[in-house]
Amino acid sequence: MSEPPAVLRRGLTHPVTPLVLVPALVALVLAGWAVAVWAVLGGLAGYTLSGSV
Amino acid sequence: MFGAVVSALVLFVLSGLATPEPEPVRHGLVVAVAVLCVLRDAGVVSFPLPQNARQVPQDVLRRDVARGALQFGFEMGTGVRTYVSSTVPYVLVVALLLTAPDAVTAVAAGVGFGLGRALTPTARYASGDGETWDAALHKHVHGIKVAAGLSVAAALAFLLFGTT
Repeated sequence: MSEPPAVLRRGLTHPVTPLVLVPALVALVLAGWAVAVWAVLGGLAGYTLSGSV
Repeated sequence: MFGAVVSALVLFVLSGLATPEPEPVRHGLVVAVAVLCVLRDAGVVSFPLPQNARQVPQDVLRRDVARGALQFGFEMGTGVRTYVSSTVPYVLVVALLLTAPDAVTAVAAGVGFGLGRALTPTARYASGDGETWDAALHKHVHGIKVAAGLSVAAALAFLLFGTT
């Protein structure tokens, strides 16, 4: 099994990664900071389910 | 993540039903629910909340691992085929229903929810010691829920009342 840093590096340097990240960042910037706050709210809600299956 | 986005879009569609109510009333309700939910997670008040409380059956993974994993992730991501151990997701549902945001906002909240759920197994794996990570989570999970609930309540109050 690969070490986590290797997995992270492989994910971030994968050829497809920019195709996902760049449009996502552009969409977020265009949509405005309020939309980003909603994404963070969703993230917090999801993270509080840690340990739930 | 796809499951969470689908749930968020369903809430977006249903949010149209709440729009006849005046905006200040709806926004006030959202913040009130957020505060109430923090009190519930803090153990100050106690009341039951609706939930399916059923896991995705394990046999979906036995039939076909790749397809089963996608199905497992989708169903779990919707938030209706899992145990909901925190009150914060309910706040998100109420906020999406009563604030009637646009579709982009609903999708952003859904994507965030999916990423938040994915953060747990990712962090556990990255820690390199799952059992120690589980023990640390068990020790801090109450504080995580209360802190997240407070952050969500404060962010909603600012979003709905601080920017107008």
